[in-house]
Amino acid sequence: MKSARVSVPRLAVLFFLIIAGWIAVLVRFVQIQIVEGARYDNLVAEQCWGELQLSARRGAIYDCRNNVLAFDIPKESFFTYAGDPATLREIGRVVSKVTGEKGLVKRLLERPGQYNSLVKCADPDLASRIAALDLDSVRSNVEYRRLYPFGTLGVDYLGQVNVDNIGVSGLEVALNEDLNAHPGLAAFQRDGKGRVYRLSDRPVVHPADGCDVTLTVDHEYQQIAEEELREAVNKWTAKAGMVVLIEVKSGRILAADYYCPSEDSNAVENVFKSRLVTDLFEPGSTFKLVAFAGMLDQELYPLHATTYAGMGEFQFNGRTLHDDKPHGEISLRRAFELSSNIATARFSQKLAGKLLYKYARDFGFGQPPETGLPEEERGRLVKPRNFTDFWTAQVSIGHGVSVTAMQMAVAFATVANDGMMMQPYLVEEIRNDSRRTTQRSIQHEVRRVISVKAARVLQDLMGGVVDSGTAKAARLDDVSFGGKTGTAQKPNLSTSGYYQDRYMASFGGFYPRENPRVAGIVVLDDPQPVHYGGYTTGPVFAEIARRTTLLEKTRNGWIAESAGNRATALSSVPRQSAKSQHGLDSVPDFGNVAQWIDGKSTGKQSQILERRMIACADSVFAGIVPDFSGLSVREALSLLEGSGCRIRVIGNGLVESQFPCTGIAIADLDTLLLDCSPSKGGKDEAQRATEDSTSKGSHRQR
Amino acid sequence: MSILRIKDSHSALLLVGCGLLLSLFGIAVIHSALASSSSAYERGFYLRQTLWLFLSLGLFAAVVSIPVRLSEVFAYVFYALVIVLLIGLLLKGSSGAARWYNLGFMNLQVSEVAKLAVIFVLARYLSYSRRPVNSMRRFAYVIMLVGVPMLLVLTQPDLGTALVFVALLIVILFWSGLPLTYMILLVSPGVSLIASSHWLSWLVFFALVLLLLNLIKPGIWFSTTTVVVNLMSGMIMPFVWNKLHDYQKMRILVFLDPGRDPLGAGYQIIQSKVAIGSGGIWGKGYMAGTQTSLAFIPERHTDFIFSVLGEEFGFWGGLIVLTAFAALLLLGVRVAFKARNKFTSLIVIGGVTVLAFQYAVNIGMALGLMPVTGLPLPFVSYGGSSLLLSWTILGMLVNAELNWQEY
Repeated sequence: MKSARVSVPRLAVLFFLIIAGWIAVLVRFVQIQIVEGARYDNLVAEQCWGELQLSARRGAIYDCRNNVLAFDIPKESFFTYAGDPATLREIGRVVSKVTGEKGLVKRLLERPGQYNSLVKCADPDLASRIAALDLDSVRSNVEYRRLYPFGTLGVDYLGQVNVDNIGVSGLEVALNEDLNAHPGLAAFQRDGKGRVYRLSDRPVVHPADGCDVTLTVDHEYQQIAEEELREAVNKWTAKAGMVVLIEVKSGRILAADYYCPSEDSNAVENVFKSRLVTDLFEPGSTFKLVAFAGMLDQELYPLHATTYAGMGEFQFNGRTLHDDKPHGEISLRRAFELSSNIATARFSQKLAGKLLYKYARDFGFGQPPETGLPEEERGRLVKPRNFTDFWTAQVSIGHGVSVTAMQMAVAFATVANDGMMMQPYLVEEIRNDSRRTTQRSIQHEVRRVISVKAARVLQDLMGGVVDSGTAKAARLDDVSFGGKTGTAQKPNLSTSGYYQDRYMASFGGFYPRENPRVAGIVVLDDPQPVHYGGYTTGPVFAEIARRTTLLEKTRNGWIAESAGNRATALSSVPRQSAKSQHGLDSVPDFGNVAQWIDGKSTGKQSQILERRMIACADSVFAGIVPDFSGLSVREALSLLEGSGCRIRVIGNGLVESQFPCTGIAIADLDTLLLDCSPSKGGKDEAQRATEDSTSKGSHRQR
Repeated sequence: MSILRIKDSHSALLLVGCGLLLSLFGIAVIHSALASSSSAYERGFYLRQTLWLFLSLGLFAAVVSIPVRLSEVFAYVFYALVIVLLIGLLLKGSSGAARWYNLGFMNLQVSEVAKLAVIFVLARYLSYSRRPVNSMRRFAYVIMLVGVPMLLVLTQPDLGTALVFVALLIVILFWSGLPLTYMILLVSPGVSLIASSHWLSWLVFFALVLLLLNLIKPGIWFSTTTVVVNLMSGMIMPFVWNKLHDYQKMRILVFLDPGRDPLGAGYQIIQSKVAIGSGGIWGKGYMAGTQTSLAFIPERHTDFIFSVLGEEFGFWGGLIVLTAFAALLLLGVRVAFKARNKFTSLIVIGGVTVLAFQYAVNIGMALGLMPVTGLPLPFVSYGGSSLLLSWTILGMLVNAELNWQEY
């Protein structure tokens, strides 16, 4: 046995180590608790306290008959505040098994202890499956998602919301202030495993639902308008189409739609503006309404006053205006009905540019219509430094101005309302979350644009357009409506000229003729192969008029007594088949040109012309070069559109002769030479036209 | 030194007082730490710990009344038994970290018992061996006695306890009068291991060792051994590194560079520092620690119990605990110095070493001064085995204090 005999230095070493360790720890203690204490305090606050949003419902949107067009449905979202990596890994592993999200664990680990979304807006099935996992640290929150029960119906004015349920387009953005939900807030404490505790002693902001909005639109009108527009756009393979319907007496917008087939596959994602108030186009003949309204209001001419419209073209200030066909001596009434550019331009000279400009402004052109939709365009109606005759001529026939479909519809509604312009509007009333009306639109007159007398005469003229004018193809026996056609070449922005083969076809009108109730406009962008407003857009308007009239009758209970067999159980009035409408055996399609001409024309000359059109068209469809003689260049061009052959035009006006002549297969054709009757413009003009190599237009004005 | 002049009975009372203070503090903190736990079982841990304290006090009384010398007789038997138990763990422990035997009423942590066994066996061997202190064979035996259980513990894997053995080896050899040259031979390979993480630091260290050897001149044979051992430990560094588990590597890397993995291995250290830091001077008050009640602190009733203490009792609470520990350790060293019997002296210094090492590593870890190693805080952390071991050691200290004059 040995004694300890430990040396004092060794004892001192151990004492020193213990005391040194004690001091070192104390120093560290002071550093962490006292020197850096505030920093750690902040860290504690950061990871322990949080605010939880209590979601609220965005206001619903109703149509005028209390049908819901847009509303919020609750969806459950899951999230976690867990900060402990092990917990996060476990959550990620289990949840991703259910949702199939790969890399969830990685995403969660990027931001531990903060708000981490696991699933956004789970459908009930998924939500219940995640809830069944019964994870300690996973919290759920009800979020609202926008639902449009009618799908894309009315998307052009309703607009869209983003993922956060905030409006980004259309009324959804325009009415954001009212529709927006006001989410509440609750303070909470969370722990290291991500569990959250609500604390009662912390202030809570109660959530408030957004206001509900009632619109002026009628979803059945909307449905009818959309159906008809869609069908027309597809039938005429148009690029796009627009329709607006306005209640004449009040200015309430009943239906509005923009349809573009190339955007249709996922319409909701694509529409970011209300094209009806943002897309500008050159109206063409539909705009003649303004010039005639002005002339009639000023009582410049009697209806039977005539002017010489030339043989299809006319010189203004050294520039040439063209008509489809030679009208010769033509009355004011027929000039409107047949939509003679030359006659309109000549008649308008008496009105003078200044007044024409005034009437155009009074009709609302060049100003935003203030319907309540966002980003309304004013259109282009430039006041020139001095009003030249040519400016007057050009504007009177709707060239050199650009308008939105809404502006055109308002102009037609103004005429239909006996010259009194009503403020167009979309929003009827806004109710807060306790169902109390906070805002209600009041119908109000904007201004008297033309006298009642002038308006009535103009209504009569518009009736004539349908009865015996350019829109007689659209005429229906059971609905009386009036309107004005328009067929305008589309401006070519790259050459600052016009496309020879692209047209905007439009038809503005109102119905019924006596005591008009609804006015509106239908526009088709580049319909093919026929581009005339009277043939393409007119029937759309007519069909809308017929179906909505029938709808009203149904609503009023008349249908049961008078024509119970025609429409039963109507949610929306079904389309009448083409067969019963036109008495034709074949269903209307691209190939049968006959269906858009029903032989109701009165003028013998035009009747012959139309027969020729039909014959030519049939020949083209059969793949054989037809005899174009007697047709205008424009008609010939429209028929050969898409055939792939090059066309050389010599001269202007009606086709005199052609090379090669009829009977040759179009497929074998390289170039078709059309020789037209020499123009009245004299030798120079003819010379210039001859030198123009390919597809020189007949309607060019600039 | 004034501490050497304290009366024996006062010293013994002081030792017991420190132990009781720490244990009661521990029970209070365990209660607070788990009060918000969702499991009723966990919430009851402080009661279980109280029960363990009573058992520990019983054991303490037994250890104090049984002559220390009695353990001399059983030292090798005890050691052999522990080795068998460790091998048994190795055989049954294919399923992860099995570190205990279920005795029905408790899970016996073998590593805690192993610490005791190693103290006894080292004390027994060093106090009876007739070989001179600078004998190479004696030195080799000692290393073997520690090495076998250490390797067994490492396979569990329990790096913390293995490091306790290393500390025991160094301190007990130091206390038994191992010459300075041997201390260099003993300590330098470990330093070499760490220094070899970079070739430059290793070169500097190696130059220092050579310089030291040149100054002391321990003889050619000894110098060569030291140089070779240092060279080898430097070269096996990459090998050892690769043998470490990923979480162990991460703990070391995170300790060296705390920003390395703030979400994974660094999370515990950060949360611990946040809890202690936010405690401030006076603490948030008992049962009022947000980091504790909100379970931000990991292992808050065992490894990171000091963080809870720091948060709720602040600087003064920490100061009391630290001082109690320091006092306990200083008194322990004093007893070891006083004891006339070498075996008693070595046992006491071994016990002090175990307590000191665990205390330093645990608190250092909580304060971000040490890598995370799963060692409990003696007396304070929840755990029956740990508390029993702490009080057994205290019992040995008090026993030695009361009987220091015995040979």
